[in-house]
Amino acid sequence: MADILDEIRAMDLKASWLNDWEFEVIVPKERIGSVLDYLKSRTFKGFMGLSCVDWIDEGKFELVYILQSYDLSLEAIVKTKIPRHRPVIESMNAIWKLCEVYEREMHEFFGIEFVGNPNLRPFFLENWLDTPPLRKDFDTLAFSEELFEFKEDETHGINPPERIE
Amino acid sequence: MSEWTEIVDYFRGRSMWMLHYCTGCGAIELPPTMTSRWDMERFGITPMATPRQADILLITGYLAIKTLKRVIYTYEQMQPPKWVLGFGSCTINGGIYWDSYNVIERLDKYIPVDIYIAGCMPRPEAILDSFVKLKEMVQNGEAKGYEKYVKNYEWYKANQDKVLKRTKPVLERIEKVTKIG
Ligand code: SF4
Repeated sequence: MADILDEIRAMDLKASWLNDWEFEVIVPKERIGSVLDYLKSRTFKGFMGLSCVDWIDEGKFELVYILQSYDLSLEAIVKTKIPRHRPVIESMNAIWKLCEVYEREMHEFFGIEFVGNPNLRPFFLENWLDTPPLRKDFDTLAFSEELFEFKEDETHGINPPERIE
Repeated sequence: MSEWTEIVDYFRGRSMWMLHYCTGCGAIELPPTMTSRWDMERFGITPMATPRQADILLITGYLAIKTLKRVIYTYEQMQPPKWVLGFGSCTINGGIYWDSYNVIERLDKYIPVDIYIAGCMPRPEAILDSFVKLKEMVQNGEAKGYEKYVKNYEWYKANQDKVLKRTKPVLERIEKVTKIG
């Protein structure tokens, strides 16, 4: 169980335990495909999900791949950072077909381009023409005020009591 | 009002079939309302499976742009007379999703709402209260939201199109950050 981490470290990658059933691996963007491939061959067959963190001050997106090994009862969290401006990364759909759906979602909400993913059509949002909404520089309040005409003092002619006891 | 409409309204108020559009979290209050604990069938109200046979459309909470479109389809499929209940603060002013990029504020800009039920989420008692109130309004010939929709169709349609048929970005400041090249 401990040797999987040693093996990863031997590949010149940063890896550490988060608790006794899960560990994280920090991978440079260029090696993400080979590392995921390697982990898959080391029983991490289950692809649990892909998410993204917007580190706006650093100017980076962090992609987080969550894998699971049923044989070892372990979870691997593989993280990689890509630039925030015109973000591009290769698609992992050759390793897990399921990745395609998650990448489609990340494409819609963060605007990340996944090279090799044939299916980056709109997903949840209807007729979306603005900046992808989960980027931190997207002003959701201004959007809501503009499109849905949100007004903070809207009371519908009913004045609520100052405080409800 | 002629005697005939008075009689019709009286009976209408006593048997209303309800279509519940359960996309909001408040939908969880409906099973107890429908089943033996609070038993809304006492008031002649019963769940209905299709919009064409329903009289009441109950919107249980937040509507995203995508679901708003479906709600409008559903509403327009219903045969008049029809009534809309807006359930929960999300239908009133966006509730906790007031600054969301995807949840509408005020439902009555898009379809006419006869009664709003405040609360996040309202208790079954509040739902029953609104049913009783709706029944009174129907029997007195006051709940005329569907007529309002027909008379002010341009206004409703313009509001719907503003949200659903956008042709340019809503915010001025768009960065071309995503596309390569
Ligand atoms: S009003 Fe509250 S309970 Fe109802 S949909 Fe909105 S957040 Fe959920």
